[in-house]
Amino acid sequence: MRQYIIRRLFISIFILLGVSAIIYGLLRTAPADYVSTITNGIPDATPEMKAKLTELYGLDKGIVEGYVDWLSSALKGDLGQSFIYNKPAQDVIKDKMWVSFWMALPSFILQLLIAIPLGIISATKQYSITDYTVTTIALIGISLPSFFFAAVLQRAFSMGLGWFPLQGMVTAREDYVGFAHIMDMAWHFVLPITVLTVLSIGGLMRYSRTNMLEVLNADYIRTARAKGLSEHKVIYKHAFRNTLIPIVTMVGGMIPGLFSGAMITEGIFSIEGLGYIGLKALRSGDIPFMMAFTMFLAILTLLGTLLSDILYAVVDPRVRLK
Amino acid sequence: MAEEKVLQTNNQPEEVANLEKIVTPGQLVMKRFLRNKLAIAGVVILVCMFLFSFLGPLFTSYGEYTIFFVKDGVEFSSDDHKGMDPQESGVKINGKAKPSKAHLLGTDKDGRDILVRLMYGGRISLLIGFVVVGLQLAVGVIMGGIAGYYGGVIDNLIMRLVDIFYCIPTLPVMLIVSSIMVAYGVPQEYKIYILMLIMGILGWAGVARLVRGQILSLREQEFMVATEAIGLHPAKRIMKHLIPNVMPQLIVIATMGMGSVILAEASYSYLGIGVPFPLASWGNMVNTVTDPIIMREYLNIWFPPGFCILLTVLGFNFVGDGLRDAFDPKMKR
Amino acid sequence: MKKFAKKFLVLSVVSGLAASTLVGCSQDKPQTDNGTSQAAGEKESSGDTQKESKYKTVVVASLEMNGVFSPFFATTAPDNDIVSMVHGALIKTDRNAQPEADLADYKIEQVEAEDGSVSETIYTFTLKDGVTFSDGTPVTADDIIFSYKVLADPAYDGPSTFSTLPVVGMEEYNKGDATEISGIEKVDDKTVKITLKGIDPSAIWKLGGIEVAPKSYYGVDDAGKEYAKGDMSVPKSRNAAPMGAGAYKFGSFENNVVTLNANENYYGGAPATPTIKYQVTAESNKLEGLKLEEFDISDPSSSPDMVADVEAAGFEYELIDNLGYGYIGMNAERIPDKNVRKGLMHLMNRRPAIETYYGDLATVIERPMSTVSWAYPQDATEYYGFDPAKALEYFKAAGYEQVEKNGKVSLEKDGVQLRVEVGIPGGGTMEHPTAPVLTQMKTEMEKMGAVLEIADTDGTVFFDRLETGDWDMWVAAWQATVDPDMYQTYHSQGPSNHYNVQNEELDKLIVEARQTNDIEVRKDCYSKALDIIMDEAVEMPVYQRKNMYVFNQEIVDMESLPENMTPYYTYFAEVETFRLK
Repeated sequence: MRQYIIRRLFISIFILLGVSAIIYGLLRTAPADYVSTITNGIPDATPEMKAKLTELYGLDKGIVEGYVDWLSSALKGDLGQSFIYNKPAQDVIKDKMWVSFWMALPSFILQLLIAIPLGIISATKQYSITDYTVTTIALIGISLPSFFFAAVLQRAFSMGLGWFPLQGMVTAREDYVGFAHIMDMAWHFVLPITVLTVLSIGGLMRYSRTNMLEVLNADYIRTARAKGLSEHKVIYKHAFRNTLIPIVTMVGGMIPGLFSGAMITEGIFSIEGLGYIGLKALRSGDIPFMMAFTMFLAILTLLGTLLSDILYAVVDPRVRLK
Repeated sequence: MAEEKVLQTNNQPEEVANLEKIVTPGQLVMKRFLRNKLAIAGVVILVCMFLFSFLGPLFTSYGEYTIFFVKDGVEFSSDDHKGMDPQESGVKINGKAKPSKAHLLGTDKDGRDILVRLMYGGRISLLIGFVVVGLQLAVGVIMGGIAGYYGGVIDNLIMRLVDIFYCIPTLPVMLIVSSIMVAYGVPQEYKIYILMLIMGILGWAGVARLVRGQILSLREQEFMVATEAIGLHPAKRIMKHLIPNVMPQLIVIATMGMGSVILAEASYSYLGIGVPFPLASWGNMVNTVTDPIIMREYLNIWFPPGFCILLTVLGFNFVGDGLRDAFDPKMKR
Repeated sequence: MKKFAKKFLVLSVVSGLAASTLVGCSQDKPQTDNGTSQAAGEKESSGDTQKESKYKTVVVASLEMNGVFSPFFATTAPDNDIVSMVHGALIKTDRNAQPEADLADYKIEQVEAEDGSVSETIYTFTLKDGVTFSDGTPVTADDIIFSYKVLADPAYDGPSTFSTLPVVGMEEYNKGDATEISGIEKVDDKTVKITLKGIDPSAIWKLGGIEVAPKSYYGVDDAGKEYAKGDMSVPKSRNAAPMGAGAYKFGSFENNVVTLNANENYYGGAPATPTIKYQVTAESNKLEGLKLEEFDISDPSSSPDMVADVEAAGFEYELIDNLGYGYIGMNAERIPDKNVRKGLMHLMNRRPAIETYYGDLATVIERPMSTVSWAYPQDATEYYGFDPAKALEYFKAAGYEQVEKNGKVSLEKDGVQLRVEVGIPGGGTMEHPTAPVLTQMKTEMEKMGAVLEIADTDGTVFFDRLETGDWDMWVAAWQATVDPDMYQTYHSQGPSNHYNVQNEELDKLIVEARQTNDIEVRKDCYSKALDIIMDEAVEMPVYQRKNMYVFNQEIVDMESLPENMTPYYTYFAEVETFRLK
């Protein structure tokens, strides 16, 4: 297994190289660079001044040369200064990823608590009214655009009932500290977390349902039933445990993704997470930050896959990774 | 519960009949599919949506982006001035009109008929779904097929490519590509095709992975050894004998993929990189929901496109779910 | 909502106490300004005739911030709002866009050469007595010169165009090895003299409009490293925490909220409102947030629906002309034939679109200039009315003919169809007042057999293509500068002449208007110049709109806002006397 992990990490380096080259190429081909972002509101910016800025930001280099420069400093652990924030790009990511994480984690836990039981219930009662209702509700969640659902929630629970704040992370008027501050933030996070949860329950629920169905059709379940075990015992002692194998694998793979941020939802709720600033950076042509951000996302994806493979081997003793 | 019982009693005689008649696998799948009420509902929804979008516009005289004006209660449009001068003072755009006989769902903020745009929007949204999924399948099947069949170095190379595409974040790339398109002055009518092309290219990795995995296990089975023994051409072996065995999974992925592509287009529209103005798509129509005034007071503007998206995506998911249950040979119930 | 607020208030008091006993009371005074009901019982000693405010904090809605609040490097409007609260400038604008002394009194002298032309202009700024930074240290001439030098530094990569001013010695400093800018001299501790080559009516804004940055803060970083020419890292180290001579001190930028605290050392007197906060919000929520009391001052984009909504909610609001105007521009290089341009002009039906979108909140304008400007000719009348027949005449005069092709009409010249691409920064969703104008234009052109391609894109890409002269036609708005000078935009050599208009007579008028300070003469020049621009058919002026500022009058003391606000003089123009109820 150790050999397997080492091999995977080795491959990952090549994947990251490929991703970074593609993204860098695209970013540099894109028309709006950072210099035009800062100068387009100024009518008296002379071409000379723009040329100078282009040079200062290193945007006058060719794509290949620029990439090689970026790569060589990235290998030394320096991902460059973010143009917008005038800070090292990795520091900006380190700052903001926790906001995204604290929004994603509760949603992730809720998702597990809701989706897995629902999936199992609807599998044990396949083609019943319960199955149909549960499936329909879960699928409605994944059949809505996130911004649409968020807007409806804001309308209903904020503008309409006034239960939750419309947006933001804290009550600006107050200077809460300590526990009150945390509660205040939690209160602001209710709606975004609901959006994230509802939007992702469907997938996991469906996955659990299918896997449970497969297990229920297996021979050993028939044997268990034939032995005369109670249905309850069959399902929760024999079937459920085996369903857990694929579920744990999938869920494990999702964990790194908790840091990646949600571009659209964070924007709607004015939450300054990684997705929110990533979108802003992208729009203004902040190349160093975008490179760091996409590398970060790629690493998270790779970690997710690796983690889920490892879990697969850990949970299911029949599997040997090589 | 009652329903379940009826089903069971109905099933008994049929199963007995099955023993006497020979049932093809296709018939079996069909039977299992038809048992799933949600899947049937999905099919009905989708058929209705297709009819609405593709035949609907034939029954109206309004164009996709005809603007309606109003003066002193008299309405005229940019297609048919009815002898009025659209420049006169006092002429207003008949925007945000409430539903009426002339406009069953009212008009949007720029004075265009919502029902008509909903139909045209449906065409585009559904078209995007089909084209993008088709592209993903085509590329994915070919790459996955080659990788799985040949193995070795080729497999390794293709799978690394798959890994790379798997790690590229879609949204940022879409944003960059769309700005590149604007910069190089890609004509508007082609933009939407390029959009579809990019969405297709970014999404093939999953399909390729699946196809490769399936083929790897199929390759070792006896029937493949047999095809090799009789000397079939590799292309024929892949297309005729391997792919059909992966087909069920592909159909399921495709159906569900259709729904997610429609959703993705809506998100792109929200970020301003979706189907370009003045063409309609459900995605760019449902965007109006983010304007609090429209949200609160003009249900007729934001709700219909949202509902269409919801129903259609739900329909695709129902059908996909039903197909998967039906195709799965391990499902005996 | 009310219920929740109360609950949190109780919690916060408890935890506040707990925290202070544990840490050993790190604050000078207990947390008193957290909120509404609590602050009510408090009285601070004051001999003022004004009664004590019940509220201590006001929250202002803002669009997203980058958190770069440096007077040198802030690029976006929300960031600059913070900078101008924390920093003081040498001069400010009065209600009519004329310069007025702020931190410093100013004097402009012109040196005439032997031939009678102006060879040099000398600006002298003298700091007022008692002007200090918020840390209590006095503002000196050295701080002013330091600020200039950072802006003129060869390594300066911010948005200021200061280095393009014809200051004597600027070239040598900005491009060469000079260690000082010879045209900028320290006369005494409070006085700076700047010598400019020639005359430039707008230079006063670039020289006096700078926010003075304390050298002791921006010139030395925390590690003790001092600023040296050619290295921006020291001034940049202060980007996130500005300090200056403004009415407010920067507190923090956390969780998308900026906190500003009153600067007791402000030369205009300690501000009446202790805390101002800026809450970042999405444009679409600017009114809803006000209704939910998430903020107290907001500027939702004005529309008749919005006004009705604000009135229904019972808020007080102010409508102030926007400094700028909306237009549709054409690139004379890409559409070289004037007749084609004129034809296109006749296809723009502006009135219904603007009346529908803005109602009374905008007017259709007839000359490309903000009506706010003193130079706008008030008697101007319509130049190109909506008239498809006339448009077709112009197209035919340009050599276009309608031919039948595959059963469709096609408007062609030498076998090439008339095809125009127009760019509009509608964010991809065509959220733009001019949208119906273009839609109708598209329909009319289709009827004639021509094609209008509408490319809706987000701002950066749009401006980038505009910059490279890549649009046939585009929809945008000009942000008016305080001075109506047209050189940048319409002179054949102007750096922002996106229209590519080349007209000798126009050039002459523009240069003439730049060389005098006589308002009447300039007015006349500009009126003639505007007519020429209209005749060139490179720009269709569309609308002059109003901005809307909405206040929660339960919290904001409306009496304390400046009277007769103008676009140059808005609600925070007299922030030191701004108070809450």
